[in-house]
Amino acid sequence: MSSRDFLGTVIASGLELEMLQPEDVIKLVTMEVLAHHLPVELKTRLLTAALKSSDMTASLVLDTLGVEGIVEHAPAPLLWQLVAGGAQRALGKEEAATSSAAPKGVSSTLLPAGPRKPNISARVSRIRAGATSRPTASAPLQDDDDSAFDVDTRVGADQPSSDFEVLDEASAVVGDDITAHGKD
Amino acid sequence: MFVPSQVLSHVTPEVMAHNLPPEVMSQVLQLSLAAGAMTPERILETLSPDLLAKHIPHAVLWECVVAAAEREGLTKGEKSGSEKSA
Repeated sequence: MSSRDFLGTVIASGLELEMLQPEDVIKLVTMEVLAHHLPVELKTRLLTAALKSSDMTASLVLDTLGVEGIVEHAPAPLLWQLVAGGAQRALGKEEAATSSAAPKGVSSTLLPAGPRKPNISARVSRIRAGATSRPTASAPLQDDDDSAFDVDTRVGADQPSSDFEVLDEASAVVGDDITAHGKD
Repeated sequence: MFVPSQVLSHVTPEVMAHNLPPEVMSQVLQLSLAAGAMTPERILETLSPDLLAKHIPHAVLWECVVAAAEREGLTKGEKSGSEKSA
């Protein structure tokens, strides 16, 4: 399978599953691109269809030329960009859906790639040590017996780089602390 | 003597596809897509007489002129009004 076959399959599936819209295609594979790259036969077909139809829309262009026609003649970088754009939009929707329902112990696959920030470990150490003061809190935290419930507010005070990052690590600590305080 | 649809009956999509350079074709398509419809009037907004004369084969354009003349009754075999009265 060539890369164009792959792109054609992906784009066709994307359109079928409505992860890509005809307008998305035409935004990248513009009329200028088509005018420069389509063969005469496809230009003829497009002009004929457009003159016959009462509307000229992205859907008409796509229906007339077909995904195959576009994939065969449009520059490959544009097609890759189209696929990448569709992927980014899909991932953005997926993350939004997950973040709105994020439970404790959110999967670390949602975490950004790269090492964890050092201040997380510092906060975790403070939690383990049962620290009563917060470095940059708007209001001092009253220490209580169960510092496990301080986790979220303590974490929020230090401006975490990612809520998921903090929740993920803190959830591990909470489990330990609950166990530890249960023994006290 | 000419209406856009009559011009396009000679300057067909195939003629345009074969002869228009990409820049001009791009303008025709972009204008139509932006407007939401492709019409003979809209095409001829872009394809001015200068551009038609520059890019469309002259034989096609002459056919267009001859067809217009025939519609007006100004063909070879028919005499004009002044010739008839003489």
